[in-house]
Amino acid sequence: MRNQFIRILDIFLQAVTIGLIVVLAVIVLMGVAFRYTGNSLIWYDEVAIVLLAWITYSGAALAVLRNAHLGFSGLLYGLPPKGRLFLFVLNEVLFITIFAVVLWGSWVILGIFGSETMTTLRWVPRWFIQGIVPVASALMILGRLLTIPERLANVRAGKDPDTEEIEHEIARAEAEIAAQSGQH
Amino acid sequence: MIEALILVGMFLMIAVGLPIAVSILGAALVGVYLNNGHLGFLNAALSIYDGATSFPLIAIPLFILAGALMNTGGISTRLIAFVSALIGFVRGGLAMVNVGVSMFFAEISGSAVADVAATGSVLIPAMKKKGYNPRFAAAITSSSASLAIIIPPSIPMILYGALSDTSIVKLFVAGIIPGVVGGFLLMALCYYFAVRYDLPREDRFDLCRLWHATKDAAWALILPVIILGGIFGGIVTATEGAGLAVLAALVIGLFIYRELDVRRLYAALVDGVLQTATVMLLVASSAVLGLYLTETEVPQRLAQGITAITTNKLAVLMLINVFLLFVGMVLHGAAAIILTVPIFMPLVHQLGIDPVQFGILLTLNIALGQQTPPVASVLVTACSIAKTDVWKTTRTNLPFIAVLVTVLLLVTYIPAVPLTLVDVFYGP
Repeated sequence: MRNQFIRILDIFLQAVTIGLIVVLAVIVLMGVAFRYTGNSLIWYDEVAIVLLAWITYSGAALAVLRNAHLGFSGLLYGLPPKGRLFLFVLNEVLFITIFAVVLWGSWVILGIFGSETMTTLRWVPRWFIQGIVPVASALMILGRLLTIPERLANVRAGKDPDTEEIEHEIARAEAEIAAQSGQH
Repeated sequence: MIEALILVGMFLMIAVGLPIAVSILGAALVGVYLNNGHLGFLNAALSIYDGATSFPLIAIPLFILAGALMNTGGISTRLIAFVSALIGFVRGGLAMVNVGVSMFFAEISGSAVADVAATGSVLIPAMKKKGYNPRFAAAITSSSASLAIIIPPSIPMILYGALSDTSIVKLFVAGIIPGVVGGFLLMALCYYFAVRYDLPREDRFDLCRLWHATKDAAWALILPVIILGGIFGGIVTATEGAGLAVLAALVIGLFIYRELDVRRLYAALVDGVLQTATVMLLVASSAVLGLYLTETEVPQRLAQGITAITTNKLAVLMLINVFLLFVGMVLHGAAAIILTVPIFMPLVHQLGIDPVQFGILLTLNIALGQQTPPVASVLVTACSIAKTDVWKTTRTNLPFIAVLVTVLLLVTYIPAVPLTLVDVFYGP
């Protein structure tokens, strides 16, 4: 049940973020093309940076689910099991408190924007654009809570996530080589 | 006093394993709350959105995307074949090929870890098979991949340029001479070791083989030239150049080499998205810390404190180098840039240090940081491919680290090394 929910959320966030990045690449290329044909798109810069912010926050939520945010785990994994467990709990409490504050603050400011809109696209309200921050904060809290069992198991077993990332990259590169030598 | 406690608190949170971006955010939230009560939280919520909306930073996801496309599009194997045909006949050929490939790869590189995994998993096993010491293979792969981040395009330079309002194009140009000098120094060192330890050559030089390898790799070789040419010539911005790189990589992978299948493309996209988001969340949370630092004028006071002791540029730069060396040992590259740039920039401006020169110095320090354990992502990756111990490999790596330090000292003490090309292209 929990695993299935994580999977659905993961696929949803992948689809959203990759969709946004593809749209961003297309818009940047359109911006260049239109400028050189003499019809600069006035909304190009503003829309592009909104897309970057959305990629940042939807991708950050995905990275919480994948436990991929940059961090330093040397001290935690150097401790005996009891110390590891203590730091684990401390980290969870800090993480959730910090994003709860961001969620609250970013939610409150949405109300302050009122009827403000984007500068170049007058039909897009500001609250919609900046709504990504509270939504992503909520998703990050949810993602952190959902993945507690796996991360707790890793902490108990002393399995460092950095090692896992490196193993993942090497496995992928080796799969690439195998795939390429298969084609030749 | 409170400011110092907040910064110490931030490093404590990082030390106990909280993600760096979240630690920065937590410390900044405490700071703005102490200054402005709960209104500080609202201000922080505005900054954390605005922090992620910088136009130059759009180049980061696009270059990472282009790099991922090229890594999965059959480009790495062609580049290796080309460089082998070009310089493989020299004694210690494979070690030199390794340096050469890293320098070409630099032009499409996004994540140093992904790149060292891509080139290292081809070259390290090949070197082991030819009788190279595995530690030597890991060390040269790792050092040359790190040197590559000062050759454009470079993600750390884009980050630095956006955070410090420095021209990214000028940073790219400034990286060329130090990068090439470093590359040749690494190759010279390889040759020295090759003679001393009687390392093998690859096949004899064969013009016909070189021609075929060049033809096969032509697209991979011409593209960076066109993209960088467009950026340097002022035809497109760095961000737009990154957009063109994505398009080009896609066209080559799909229609010319035809090795890019949809499943692998998707996997590469997901990896690219994760790298972008983790770096960008750091940028966004540092905007909140920046809000707090500006309110309390910590960087300005630090600049005054240091200039009260000495106004000697070289002494200050040396101090910064030593500080960055320690930071690089315990922090990932992007995090080190994001934490140090806002703090050091007022000092850099006050002393009249060229921000472009400082950017290259910072990027080289990041490169060194990737070689200094315990946190040395690139070295650790190379070691796990070669199946060698990180600390023992570091000992073998020392001469190569010395090359990186030499380039760093050149950039620090002779501003002309990074700045001459910039002056030639864009005037003093």
